[in-house]
Amino acid sequence: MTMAASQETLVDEGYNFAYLDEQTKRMIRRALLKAIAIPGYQVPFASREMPMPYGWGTGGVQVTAAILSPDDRLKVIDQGSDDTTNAVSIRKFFQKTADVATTERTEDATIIQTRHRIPETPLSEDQILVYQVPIPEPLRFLEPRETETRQMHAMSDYGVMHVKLYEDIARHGRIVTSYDYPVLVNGRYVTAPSPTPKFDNPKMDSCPALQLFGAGREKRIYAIPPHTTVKSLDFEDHPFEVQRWDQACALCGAEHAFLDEVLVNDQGERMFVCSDSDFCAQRRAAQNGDTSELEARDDR
Amino acid sequence: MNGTGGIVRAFDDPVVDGTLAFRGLMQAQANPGRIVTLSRPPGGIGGLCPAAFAVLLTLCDSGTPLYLEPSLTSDGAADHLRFHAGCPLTEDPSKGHFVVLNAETGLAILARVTRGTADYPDRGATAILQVPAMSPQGPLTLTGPGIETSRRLGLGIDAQATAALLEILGENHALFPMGFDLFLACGRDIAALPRTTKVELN
Amino acid sequence: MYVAVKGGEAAISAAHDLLARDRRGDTSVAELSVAQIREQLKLAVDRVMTEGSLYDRDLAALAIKQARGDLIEAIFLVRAYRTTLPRFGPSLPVDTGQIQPDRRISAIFKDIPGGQLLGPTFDYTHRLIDFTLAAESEDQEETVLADSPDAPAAEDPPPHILGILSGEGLVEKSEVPAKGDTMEAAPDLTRDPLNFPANRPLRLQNLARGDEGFLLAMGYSTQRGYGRNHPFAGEIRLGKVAVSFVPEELGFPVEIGEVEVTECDMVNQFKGSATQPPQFTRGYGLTFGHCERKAMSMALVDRALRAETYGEASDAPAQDEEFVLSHSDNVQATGFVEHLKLPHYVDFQSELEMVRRMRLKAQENTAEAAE
Repeated sequence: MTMAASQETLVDEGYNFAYLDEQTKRMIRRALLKAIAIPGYQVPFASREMPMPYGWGTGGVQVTAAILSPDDRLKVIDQGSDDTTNAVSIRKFFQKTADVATTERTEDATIIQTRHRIPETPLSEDQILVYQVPIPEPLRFLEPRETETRQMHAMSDYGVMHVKLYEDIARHGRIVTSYDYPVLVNGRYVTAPSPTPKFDNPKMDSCPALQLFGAGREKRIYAIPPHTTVKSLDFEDHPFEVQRWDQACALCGAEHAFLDEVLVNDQGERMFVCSDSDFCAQRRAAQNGDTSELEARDDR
Repeated sequence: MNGTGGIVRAFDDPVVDGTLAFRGLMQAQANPGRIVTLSRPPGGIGGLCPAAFAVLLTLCDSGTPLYLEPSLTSDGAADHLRFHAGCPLTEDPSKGHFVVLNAETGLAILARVTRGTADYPDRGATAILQVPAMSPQGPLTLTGPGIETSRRLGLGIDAQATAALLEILGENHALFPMGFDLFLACGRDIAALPRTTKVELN
Repeated sequence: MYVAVKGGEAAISAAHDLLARDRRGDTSVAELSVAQIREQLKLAVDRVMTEGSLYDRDLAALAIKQARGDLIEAIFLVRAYRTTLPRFGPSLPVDTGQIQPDRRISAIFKDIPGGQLLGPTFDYTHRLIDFTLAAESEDQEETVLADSPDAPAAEDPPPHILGILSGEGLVEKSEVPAKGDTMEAAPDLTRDPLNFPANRPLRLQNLARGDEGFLLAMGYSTQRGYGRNHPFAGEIRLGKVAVSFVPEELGFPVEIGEVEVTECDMVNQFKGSATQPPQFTRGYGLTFGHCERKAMSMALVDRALRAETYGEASDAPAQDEEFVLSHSDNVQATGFVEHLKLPHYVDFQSELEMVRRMRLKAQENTAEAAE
């Protein structure tokens, strides 16, 4: 297959380790350090044109490329799963350009690049979670102008967001945002968690792992340091709550995991299974014999 | 500059060592006050310790003006930095994106570095303060993002310098989200006190 | 029993194989050569070079071949390649006044010094399908070549029309840097993030890379009254211009080659204000190769974006800097529109769950009301 053959020699063809040149990495690294120092604030960065389309993870890929070392073990997920096509494609990109070790096991990964989910397995201090972000500005759909939203952040003027949430409650009796649910980071910046389901928001709060966010097309990087408060916006009489399902995962029986609804036949019959493919697979493996792992997982 | 004859050693492997150094810096920044020993730092040059030199090599280039405290510009350190990092040097500390100071002599200058603006707080400077020692059992107590409960830190500077540093850091912290971010460097060790960190005397 | 979908990697690899096969098409038909694309699809090559921000005819032709004629995909390929190239520094500003034009027209005077030169243009063709082209006869090609007019005799390059007018103060002075100015201060959109407000050099850079169709629509909208600025085509010229560079070790300019460009100077009416006397203002467009529609559209939009400078009302879409500059890039736009193809089932599941709960609640409320 010519395509695979030509890509396997990417490094030999003169591309740098992890594709990006060193000057670009320095620029991204400076932005990352500032992002960590100002939790939740969107740092502008000179996003490069990557060999994959904007909107398909170029921000996350640039962040990962700038931090990746030969000692890392990389996990890439999309929708919680390691084997969705774009996750496969991005994982392959780093195997080819950095010859990096990869894993599907959440606890074995040092860097996890994700689109739309936070793994169910709790993360540790030694891990870095890199989010792919399409629209980094949480106020964008309330105010399309960057010049305006920048001022709102500068002044902590988040009135439009509170009005929006309040109107939701007035009209629908609840806040009708189910993903990319806005959070307040370190009590200062209203921040977009990226389009993760709000089910995952509580995992961001005081997370021991470093969380990095890359938006390539919109040219922004932001971060949440470990052990930082991340509060989902709500009202006292309408507290934030996460999604829940009436059933457990049909494959592993998990009761507190995010479930995908799968249509199983033309009659519209459906079943619910874990969106986190590694979490589900490990639980099933444990049920089939290795019980030590299952017990370890139930501790959480 | 004629070749590298008179130039000191930077990173042995600029790509890998630079990445490892950055990971050390990022770990420090994400966990304020944690002392991180850089695994494969460059040598020191002139008055710059390996950790301080590593910060500059990792992060500086032609787009980032650098201010060096006058006592650090001797021994051709400036030339080395121009050669290795290509960064322009400035004599005005408020214009430096990066500022390198000694704790004994540079605290007055630290108070003058740029804090960014309310709409672009990321434009605040990164200051590197060389300290005589660093220990995880010092008189300073740190709290804030990146610290689970609190963390202790000692810098090997006298009470007067400590008080002066605390005053500058307190004022810096109060300006949040504006402010500068501080790296502390000693030998191969690095620690960070970003603007989010609240620093108090025990 | 349901089994989670596996084998993404095999599927991707199979898709790549199919793509290669489809690109080649019927193998009994001769394969296109890059040289054929370069020579015979010149306007496609020119557009890819312009919006790809890279002057390389062969690379653009290769990208068009690889992209199966999808020009935005070809632009994307060129851009991604360009990012990896080393940078030696900015060239000196090109002097388009030194162009010996292959085409040069002005709509604002009947005759102009140096003359009106139509050059290779579709303008006065009757748009009738030419079935003789389907014959692919080599004899006919020879006839065409034999009948082509000779290149005009080399004379002094003709002056810019607007330059003549600005001497009288009738047209604002060009902001183009004077000869010998270096472009140190020129911003670089590909190396720095776009921040607002942008200055004119940054805007022009953005427009030069911008999508031809987007700029065409934006420019057109100004003609229909959304930010009208009374344009006249002051001058359109097409030709080759020398590019010079000052290598640091030499310290003097060295000519490194020639690029073909299309330049459009649009003249726009300006009534004057309390502080400025009435005079004509300008909009500017410049592209690689022959991209006349793009150069003209760019000039219209450039002028529209200067509304604020002239104290004009700026409430039309084409006058909105943030709107225009944020949406002009077709590589960004296509990526984000097409990313909707990626799986979004987790988000959709979140919405499903919420809508179901809301419907349940609504049904309960209706039931209660009925009781």
